[in-house]
Amino acid sequence: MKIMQNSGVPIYQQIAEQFKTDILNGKMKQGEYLPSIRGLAKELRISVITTMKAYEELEKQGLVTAVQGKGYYVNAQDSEMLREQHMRKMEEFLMSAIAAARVAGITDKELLETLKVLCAAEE
Amino acid sequence: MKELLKMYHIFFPNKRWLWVLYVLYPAIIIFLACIWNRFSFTPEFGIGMGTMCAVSLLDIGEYLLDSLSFYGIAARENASMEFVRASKKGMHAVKTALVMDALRRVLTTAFVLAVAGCYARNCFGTGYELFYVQIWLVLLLLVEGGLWIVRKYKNGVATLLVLYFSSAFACGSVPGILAFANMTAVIVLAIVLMVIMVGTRLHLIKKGKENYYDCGFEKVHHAV
Amino acid sequence: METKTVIDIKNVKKKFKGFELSIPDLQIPQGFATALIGENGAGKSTLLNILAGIRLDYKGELRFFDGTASDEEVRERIGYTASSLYFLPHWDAEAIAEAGEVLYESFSKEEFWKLCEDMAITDRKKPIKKLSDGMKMKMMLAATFARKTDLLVLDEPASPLDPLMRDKLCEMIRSYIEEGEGKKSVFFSTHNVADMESVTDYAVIMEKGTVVECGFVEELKEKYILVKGEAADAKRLKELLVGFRESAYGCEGLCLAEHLDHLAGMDVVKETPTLSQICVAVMRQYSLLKSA
Repeated sequence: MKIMQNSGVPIYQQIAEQFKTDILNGKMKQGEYLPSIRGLAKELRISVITTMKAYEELEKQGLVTAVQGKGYYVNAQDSEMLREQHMRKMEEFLMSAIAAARVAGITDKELLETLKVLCAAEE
Repeated sequence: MKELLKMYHIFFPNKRWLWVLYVLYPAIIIFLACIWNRFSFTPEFGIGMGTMCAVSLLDIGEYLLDSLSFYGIAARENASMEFVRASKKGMHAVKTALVMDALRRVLTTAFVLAVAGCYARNCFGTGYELFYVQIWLVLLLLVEGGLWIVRKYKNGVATLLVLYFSSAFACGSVPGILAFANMTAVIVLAIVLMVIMVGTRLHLIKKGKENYYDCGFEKVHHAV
Repeated sequence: METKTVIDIKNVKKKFKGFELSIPDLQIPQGFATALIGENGAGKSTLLNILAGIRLDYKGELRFFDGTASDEEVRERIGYTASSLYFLPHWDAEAIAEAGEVLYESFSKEEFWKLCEDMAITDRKKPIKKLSDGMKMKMMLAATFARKTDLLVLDEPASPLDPLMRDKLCEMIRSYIEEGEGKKSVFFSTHNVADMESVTDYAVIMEKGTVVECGFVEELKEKYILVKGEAADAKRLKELLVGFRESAYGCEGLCLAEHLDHLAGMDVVKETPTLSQICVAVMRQYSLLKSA
């Protein structure tokens, strides 16, 4: 986990994002408990209130549930919701690619070609 | 008892000091007092000189010990001693230490003079017991009174003056008492001494309590 | 956010010459590190003295933990460090260890020596009066952390320490809170907000003897937005911003989140403030008011 102090993104948000990624790509399993807020604060060398806020953020997004006295455990992730979320992300990135292409005057055909080549390379 | 002693000892700088206090200091004075008894021909000379050595050294010794070891436990306002005062046993420790200190002073002086006295009886026969008792009481009175002044007027010059005068007075009373040791005087001295000792202890404890309530201007700068 | 209170302060008042400490209502949350921030003379040390039980002449009520502990128990459960002559000046490390054992029930000599080693206190026989301020503070911390406590009340612990040791202090505070699993709390005063920000959960800002702002740091960062604008807009912005500051090149200040819409249409940049910036702005506001 890499936290950036001066990126303009609040630290609690960065932490929430990192855990969210881990949860959504399956690194953290359903039912697994997140590290204790105080333990995490100690490891990351930040204040407890920051980790607490990060976890509250995750709870708001429905990714974890708080259990009094035990901590926060990972919710079962709806594969449909997962797919949708990743779909949205993919669309976002593609929009950026299209915008960049337009700026440089690159045609749609060239864009699609590049996409095919890259997909093949990834395999 | 062990608990009480422990509470007293924590106010000393370190453990080595305890050796000085309980062993070295009395031993040296006993030695000096007895030496005179050993090598004198007349009791007046022997006992007189020996006791003068003993009381003057005991007198100075008590002042020095108080300032060096006890650190003027209740007298120095600079030592706010938060470590002691924030503890639930803090006030109790201070009270105990003050009482134990008085006890130690009484017992050490008694012990030193008793040993010297026994040795004197050994050399010169009986008849000097009352003298030893009386000089012991006079010494304690001078020390207690002097300490009170030293603590009240925490001033180098005052301390030196008290040191010289009380020591000289103690010395000076030796020949007088040697000649005129007197039971009534002993009783009177004992009563006065008890009053003074109890009085000073209570006063010091009161001052200790005041630390928790102090509102003086220096404390404002200090604390805020 | 549901939080328990470790110290409940009600109507505490203490009068000094030309200054009065007055705190009508303040709760310190349990399981977190709270920073008490204020100018010199704001009354921080006085408040901490009262909490530590070394100053008894005050009016008002204090409740510690769940309110059922006796005064003596409370003293035993609180670890306190001060910024002045805490130990007897002629004591050395060994004398402190002895005194600690006699005065406090849960004081552990092994723990004390281990802490001394961790903090590089090597000379056991040097009297306190001969030590530097930094070393004195390390001794105080060693003596305090060597006990089993539920609340630490620390009076400017970071001030005499070098940056490396400050970092270690933050680590020690975090470990303490982690061990406590929500039951142990730390309440410390500081001048140096920036250095302690990474360990501060809850902030209490004091000015001239009263609490002018308090809250969880993350909440304060949402309550106040740092706004930076152009010099031309200075007049308008002055009305709206807290702790307003202007120069030839621009101006800045904190805006309350609820008033952000007043800035609509103005050429400003918005940022999340650091705790340090919040404190300076809030303190300046109250300082200005008094002198005006």
